[in-house]
Amino acid sequence: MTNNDTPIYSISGERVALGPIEADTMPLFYRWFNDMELLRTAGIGDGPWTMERVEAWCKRFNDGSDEAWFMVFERESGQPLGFAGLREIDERHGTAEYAISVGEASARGQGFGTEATRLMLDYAFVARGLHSVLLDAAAYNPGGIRAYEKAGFREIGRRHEADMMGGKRWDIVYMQALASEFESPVLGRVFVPDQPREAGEA
Amino acid sequence: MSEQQPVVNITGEHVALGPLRRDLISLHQRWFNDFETDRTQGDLPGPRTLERATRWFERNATSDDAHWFTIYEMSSWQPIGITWLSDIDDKNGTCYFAISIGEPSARGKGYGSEVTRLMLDFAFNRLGLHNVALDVFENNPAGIRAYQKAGFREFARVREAYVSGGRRWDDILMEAIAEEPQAADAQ
Repeated sequence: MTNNDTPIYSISGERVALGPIEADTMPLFYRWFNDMELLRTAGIGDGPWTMERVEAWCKRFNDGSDEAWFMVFERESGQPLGFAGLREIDERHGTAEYAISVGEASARGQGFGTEATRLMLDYAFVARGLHSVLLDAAAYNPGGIRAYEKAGFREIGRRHEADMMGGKRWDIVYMQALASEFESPVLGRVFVPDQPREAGEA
Repeated sequence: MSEQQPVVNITGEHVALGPLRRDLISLHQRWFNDFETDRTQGDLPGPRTLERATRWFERNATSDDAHWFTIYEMSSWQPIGITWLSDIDDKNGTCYFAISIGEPSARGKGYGSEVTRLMLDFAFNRLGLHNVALDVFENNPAGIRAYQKAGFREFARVREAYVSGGRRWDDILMEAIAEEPQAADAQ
C-alpha cells in the first residue's frame, strides 16, 4: 500500500500500532478533549476545551526531549483510537511517567489500551533504555488499572483520598513497571546487533 | 551578634518561616553549590551560577501555584534553608511538600521536622488542603525519620528510580492527611 492516507507506524503490535501524531489530527483531539468520559480519567483538567487550548496542549507532541507521544492506531484499519505518552523522561535516573487515553468511545473496553501500553513499555525499556516507568490512576478507574496490570505494571501503593470525583474523595493508585521484569513483545527483535555479513555483500 | 528579626509568617518553637528575599540570592547560590544538599534534592549536582540562582528566585518569588518560604533559626534569626508547597490543587485538595536545610550547622537539630509540622499546619488549617505528599530517596534516612516524626507515612516505594553514588535507590512516596475537622466547641 502506497496510499498517502496510510498512517506511519513506528511500532506494530497484533491489533494496535503506534506512530507519530500528525498536525492534521488536531480536530480529533478537539473532539476527544471535550468528551467528559475521557476527561474523567485523563487528568488533564476539565473542559470546555477550545481548539486553541487543545493546540497549546498538543505542542508537547513536537517539542521537548523529556516527553514522547504516539498516536494509537487500530493496526488493520489505520483508524486513530487514542494517544499515549511518556512524560518527565529522565535519562540520568532512567525514569519516566506514562499516560494513555483511548479517545474513541467505541474502542474502549476491548483491550486496545492494554496492548498499546505494552508497546509503550517496549518503547520505553528497549528503544529508550529506561529502567522504570511510573503511572498513577484513580481508584474509580478499575478498567484502566486492570489494563495496566495486564500490560506489565504493578501496584506499589495508594495515595489516600487525593482525587475528588463526583463529590467524593478517592485514592490514587500508583503503579510501576521495571525493565528487568518486562518481556519485550516487538522491539526486542529490532534492537539487536547486525548479523555478520557474507563477503561480497553490500 | 544576631541579625535583626526579619519578616516572618509562621513562628514555631525553634524555627520561623518567612517570604523569599532578593538579598538572600547569593546565600541560596552557596547552598545550591553544596553537593551535600544536592544529594537529597534530586537535582543534577553541578556548578550553579548566580544568574541561575537569580532565575530560580524570579520564578518562585511570584509563583501562583506554590508557596515558598525562607526558614529561620529563631535563636539567631539566621536563614538556614528553604521549604515549599508546590502543585497546589484546590479541586483535589492536594499539594507536594519539600524542604532543604542549606546551612550544614543547622542539620541534625530537629529543625527539619519542626518545619515540616509547621508546613502541614499551614497546608491543612490555612489552605484547607486534604492530602500533602512528598518524595524522599532511600539514601536519606535522616529525612525519612524527620518526615515520619512530623506526621508523614510511606504509601508507596518506586523501586530503583534514583541514581546516586553509582547505584540505584528507591524513591519513597509519603503522604499526610488532614484530620477530620472538629467542631470549634468540641472538647
